[in-house]
Order: sequence, then C-alpha cells, then structure tokens
Amino acid sequence: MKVDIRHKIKLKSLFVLSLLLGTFLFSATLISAHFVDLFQLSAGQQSTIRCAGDRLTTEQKNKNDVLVKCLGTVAAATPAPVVTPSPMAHTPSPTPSSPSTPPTNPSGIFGAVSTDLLGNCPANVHDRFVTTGPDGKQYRTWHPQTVPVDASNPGGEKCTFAHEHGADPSTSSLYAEAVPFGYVAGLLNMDEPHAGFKCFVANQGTKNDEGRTSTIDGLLCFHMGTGGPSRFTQRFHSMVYKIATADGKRMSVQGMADTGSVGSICDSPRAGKTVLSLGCKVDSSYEIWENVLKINNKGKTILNAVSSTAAFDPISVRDPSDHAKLVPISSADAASIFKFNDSRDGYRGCRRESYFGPVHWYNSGSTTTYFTDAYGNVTAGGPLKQEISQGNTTNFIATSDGMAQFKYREEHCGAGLGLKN
Amino acid sequence: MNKISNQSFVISLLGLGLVVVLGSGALLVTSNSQSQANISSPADQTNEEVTGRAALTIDEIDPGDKVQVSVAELLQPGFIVVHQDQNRELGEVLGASSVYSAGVYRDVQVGVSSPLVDSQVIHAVLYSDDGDAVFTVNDTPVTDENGLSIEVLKNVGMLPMDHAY
Repeated sequence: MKVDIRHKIKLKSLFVLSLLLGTFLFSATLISAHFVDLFQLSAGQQSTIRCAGDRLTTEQKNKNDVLVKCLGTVAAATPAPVVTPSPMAHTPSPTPSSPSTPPTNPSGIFGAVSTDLLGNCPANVHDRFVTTGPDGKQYRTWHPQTVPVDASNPGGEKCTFAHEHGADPSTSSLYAEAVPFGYVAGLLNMDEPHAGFKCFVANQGTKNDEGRTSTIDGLLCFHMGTGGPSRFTQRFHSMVYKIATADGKRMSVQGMADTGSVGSICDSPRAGKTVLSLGCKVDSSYEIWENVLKINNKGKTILNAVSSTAAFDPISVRDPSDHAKLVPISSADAASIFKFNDSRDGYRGCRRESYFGPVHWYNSGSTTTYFTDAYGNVTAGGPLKQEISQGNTTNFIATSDGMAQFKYREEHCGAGLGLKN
Repeated sequence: MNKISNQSFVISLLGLGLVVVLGSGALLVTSNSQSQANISSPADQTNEEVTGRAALTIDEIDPGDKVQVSVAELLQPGFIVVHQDQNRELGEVLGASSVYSAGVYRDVQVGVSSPLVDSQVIHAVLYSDDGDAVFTVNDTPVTDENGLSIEVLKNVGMLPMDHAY
C-alpha cells in the first residue's frame, strides 16, 4: 500500500514536471519564433542586440519603436537575442563614405551616401533608416531631416541631415511598408543619388492651396533631384506609386518611370521634363517633370500611370550646349535667365508640388497581379510585383470638382539643407 | 490492473510531453518560413499566359544595327516596325520587318537604318499590312480593344549611373 502511494506521488511529480517543461518549451518557442518580445529602454539607457542568424535588420515603426529582426536559417533552436542595457555614454564617431563608393557600401546597405548629405549627423545615424527589399537585401528608406542621435533616446541630442525626402509615407492611407529607396533602379545596376528620393502623400479629403479636395488616396515616392546635371540625360527614374480612387479602383506599381526628353519652357512642343535653361528667359523658377509608368503585357498597355513632380526652387539649371555642366541657380551664369532679381542663394529644391494622376486602367483580364521588369514590361519571373484593379477606366477623377489630377504643394525646407538635396 | 493503469498513464504523459515539444518545433519552423514569406523566388512570380491576341515581346536591345524580337503574334498579315522615340511618341521609322502572315514568330530580327546606341529609346510596334505586302505609310498600327497600339517602348542597353548628381 505504501509502495503504491509513493508510486502515485512519483507519477504525479512526473506529470507536473512534464507539463511545466512542455509549457516552458512551448512559450519560449512562441516568443522567439514570433518576435513579439518588447524590450523597453528607459531614457538614458542604450542596448546592444546581437543576431545569431545571418543578418540583423531594423525598421523604424514609429518615433519610439524599432522592429528588429534576426534573419537566417534556424539550425536547432532560436537563440534569444543578447540584450545588454547600459547607461548611455554616447559620442558616435562619423564613418565618412566616399562619393564614388560603389552601390553597396561597407555597411552592407544598398546606396552610396556621400558625407555632404549627412549634415551634422554621423553616418551610422543615417544607416539606421533601412528596410528590407523584396530581394532580402537592405535598402535605405524615408527618414525625417532631423533625428535623435541616439534612437533609444528620442528626447536627447538631435542632428540634422543635409537632405530630406519629403512627406512621411507612413502618413498615407495606403502605407503598408517602408519604401526601399533604390531597389527598382538597383535592378538595372544603377545607384540613384540618395537625396533625390522624394515622397508625396495625399489622402482623400486633403485640401490643396487652390481649395480643391482630393477624392483619391495617393502615395508617391519618386526619384527627382535638382542638385546636379545628370537629370538632363537620365530619362528613366524610379517611381513607387499607389492610388486608390473613390470608386474602388486601386493600383500599387513601381518601376523606372519615363520622364521623356528634356527642354525649357521656351521649347514647343514642351518636353516631358521642363527645366530652367540658359538662353530661355523666365519669370518663374519652376521645374516640372511628367513621369509615366506603363505596365505593358506583351505589347498591350494594361495600366498608364502618370505623376508630375515639380520644384519651385531648383538648385541648378541646364546649359543646353553642355548637359554635363553643373550650373548652380545662384551663379552669375544662371542670373541672366531670370526676369526678376531675387536672391536664389537659398534654393534647395525643397519647395515642391506633385500631381497625382491621371491614371488609366486597361486591365480587362482576370489577373490583378503582374510581375514585370524594371520598365514595367510583364516578364516571366519579373522582379517587380504590380497590383492593378480589373477593368477599363479612362475617366480618372482625383478631386471633388472632377479634375483628373490632384495637385498638392508641400514645403520641406528645414535649416541645414545642402546643395545636393 | 493498477500497475497496467499506471504504466499507461506514464506512457500517456511521455506522449503528451513529446507532442508539446514536437508541436513547438513545428511552430518554430512555420513561423520562420512566414518571416521570410515576403521574399518571393522567381519561380513564384508567374504571369497569366496571353493567348489569342496580337502580342509583342522584346527582352533586351543591345546597341547595334538590329532589334531582336523574342515573340511576335499577329492575327493578320503585318510587320514589326521600329520607331525612333520623339518625347514618348512615335518618331521616324528606323526599320521594318518583311511582311509576316498571321501566326506566332520567335526570335526574329528587325534591321535598323542607323545603329542603335546605348540609352537610346525606341518603340517596336506591330502594324497591319494594307494588302501590298510592303511596309508603307498606308499601313497602320495594330490596336487593342482600347484603341491603343500594340507596342513596346525600350531603352537600348543601359549605361550604369555613376552616382553623379
């Protein structure tokens, strides 16, 4: 009888121990597998997170939260991240990058960033703003012009970059994930200059300076810089473009948009890219590009997406006799083209406007997802995913008064912007 | 009877523990494959097949004196014509193929009158023959149900951008 009781006690202990072990393993696995841990730092603390996988990626979710992922294959079990909080004693040292560095810089992030873009921020602060592209590599992404030096101390010391990327994409109703700057052009082995990535946002109900109200949601990240002459010869620029109309049409496309040829306002017919040019007298310092991305399925157009982007204060102007020549707008050479005599020393390409639309859908097939090459041509195994509503719609309405474009003016002229913004 | 019962109980417990451990492992594997799910492999990226309509596919165009057409499908006799670009519109004709009967043609070449150079932009367009089997200004572009021509706009080659501003 005594033996039976001991045996029962042993069995009960074994049962409890098994349950505890199982629960522990189950919980630990869930936590490590789903990356749901929240590690909170108090003001004044900093931490190191080590990834035992192949690579660590970070994504700024909002001003206080950064999502950290440890990528790679798990061999036996997922090791818990090593987190070592310590009191902050922080003076980051700048890591200068050369303007002529190849697309993948030593940080492993695609896209060279020269030191003159960094303003008074260290390079490692700029390197915080990255996202993972569809190919699994790291790309730079949108960031504010002024940021905390230490991400773990948002209220602490700030620094300011000498460039800006316009509107925060996460303010768009269509925002789903960070836009990987340079991914599209990188497919062509091109490294579009980083400062040129400008984002524009318009949500339904947004009012513009003309009193018009948007009836669409629009998110546009387009590569348009005005700081150098390469834009006079580089016709195709990357565009990530999302639209949702009031009547339910949607598109989410990306590719190298065609900006057409380059010319001045004196040219007739007007070129796709109208820029300030020596020899053409003007009374406005306005530069505007029309950017067209067609999704083409074996010769048939299934979507024609047009945006326009403009700067009221371009940083340089064009010399029609030498498209490689940098002519700063504040130079004596450029002064001759203006009918007015205001100072242009402060021009930084940061007073901009965008036109969302028109967009025409010709997608009569049953498919709404296509894979294309960088130019929007549907291709087997194409690297770019395009999402296009079904149906044919050429009557694109973007405003409450029936306009086919919604124009929106924005200013992003913080102090400290440089001549490559 | 009691002994047998206890043995069964122990086996059940061990089994339960094993299920929990294996289940956790399976969840871990599933979760990790989900975390990689947004990275698609080329094999996943397939498009709906286009059949029974005029079509034109050109993969890459290298600098030189010809345009390589991967696939052309004509529903009626016609030509593949290469145009210079004029600010995104059709410019002058650079070259035209001989007349093709209706059918599917693969890997055909169209010669051009002046060599194509890196970064030049061209349009390759399907045209219908007006009946004389010779490409002339009377021939017209093949259009789809929306009245849009069947054409491919292409950038010849591509000079990598040297990070210049």
